[in-house]
Amino acid sequence: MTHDPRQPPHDDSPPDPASEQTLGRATAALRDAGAAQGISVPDDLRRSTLHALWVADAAAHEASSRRRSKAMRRVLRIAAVVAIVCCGVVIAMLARRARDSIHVHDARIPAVRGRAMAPPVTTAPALTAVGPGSGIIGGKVIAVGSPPERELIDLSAVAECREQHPDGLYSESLVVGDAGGLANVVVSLFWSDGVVMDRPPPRSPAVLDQKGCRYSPHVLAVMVGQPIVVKNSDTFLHNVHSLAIDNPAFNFGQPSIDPGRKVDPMKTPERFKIKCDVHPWMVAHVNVFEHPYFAVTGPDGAFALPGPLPDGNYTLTAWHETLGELRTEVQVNGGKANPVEFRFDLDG
Amino acid sequence: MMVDWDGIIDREGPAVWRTVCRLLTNRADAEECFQETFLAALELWKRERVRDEHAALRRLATARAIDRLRQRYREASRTSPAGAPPADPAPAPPDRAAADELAEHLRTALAELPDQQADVFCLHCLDGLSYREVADAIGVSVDHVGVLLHRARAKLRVALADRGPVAREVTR
Repeated sequence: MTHDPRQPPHDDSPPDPASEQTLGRATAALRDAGAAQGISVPDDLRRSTLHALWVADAAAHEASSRRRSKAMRRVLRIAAVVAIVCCGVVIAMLARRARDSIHVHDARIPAVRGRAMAPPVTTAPALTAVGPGSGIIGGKVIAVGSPPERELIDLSAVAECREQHPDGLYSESLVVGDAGGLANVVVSLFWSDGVVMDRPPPRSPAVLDQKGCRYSPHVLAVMVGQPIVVKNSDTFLHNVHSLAIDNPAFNFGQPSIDPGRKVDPMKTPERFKIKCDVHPWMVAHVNVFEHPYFAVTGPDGAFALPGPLPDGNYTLTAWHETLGELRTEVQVNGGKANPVEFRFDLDG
Repeated sequence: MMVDWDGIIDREGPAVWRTVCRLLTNRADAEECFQETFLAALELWKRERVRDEHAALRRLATARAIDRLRQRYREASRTSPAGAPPADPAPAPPDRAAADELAEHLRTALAELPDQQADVFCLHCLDGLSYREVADAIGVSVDHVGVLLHRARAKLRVALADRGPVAREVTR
């Protein structure tokens, strides 16, 4: 077998001594060849190389500066957009706060049907003093005048509701008790004189039930962040449709008995309605507060805000869905607070 | 970070100059290759932190010189049947004529080697870098340097044996 001299030998085959020697001589010759040009770099070559390096480096720096400048302009543009957006958000928040303030101010004067009576009476000898020494603010909400007859809801078209109310179902928009107590009034602290009112929300959920074709309670007061559960105690379909604007809205059906479905906690103070799209008379009013000092009156019109509260001056509000809002000043002194009476005029 | 190119050329310039001069017989080519080597080094220094500037510059110089060598042989093969690149007009001393011709044969053979094999052969056999330095400079393992060098030497032996009678004559 002949070996092609143009092809390298196999890795395992020993190199031919003659060719190895030739390679060694050639390598030595080439190694020495560089010396023929001298061992030092010619001055003009050294200078021109340094100049070329300087020019290339300067060009690179200039390009880098241009890139940095472009990036900086981009960052400034983004910062300007962010600043404009932030300004817009702040302005919108201020406008909203101002609007809310105007709403509250308007409600103080008989805003709803002009029937609230002002100024409110702040003392009532007939009342039992609430929590003397405890600093708890309490009292009663009274409807003054002749209460109108409660509206009877027409259930003729809805058999399952009619069967649950053989004596008829009456509207809860104005419920006056035997002694004139006004139910479903939300009483709350509106302003405190230097007392920090923020407290963590309660862990126990506020429950809204659908029972007998109505919401129970008719007026619900919750704290921002408080869990909320919606139940259905009826064996048929109800629809829970929140009309909240500033808070997470929800709209879902509960086709039958449901022990409780959680909805997202509220995020900001707001007053809004919840309605049932299936049974149009079903309405609940939800009041959201940032503090825990609120209460909803029962059939006797009595209320007691959770406490105790430190000594100080407080502004108290009472809101009713048809009669509007009243306010009064309350002083807690030495741990005592005189009972408060709100009087809504039904004949005004 | 500012690089002291003045100092680097002082330290490494002579070695780079020798590398390009031994591979490129044309002085203008050698000068151009010398500048290209340092301009390439400028980019390399910007891109990464160079641990061994000596090995890095030798590698850059060798790679560019081999490229230029190939380019010259391609041009020469198109214009001259002999295929020899144009050399400086300065005549070599008579006693070096045979060695110069042998070196020229080796240049021709190097130009025909694959990149890595040519680089490894030049860096180790001509510039005197160790296996470890060569491995760091071209980014391969030490074992792979040995393999590349073995293959390069095998091909060069064949190429030189196949070359003209001058090599055999000098060998003899």
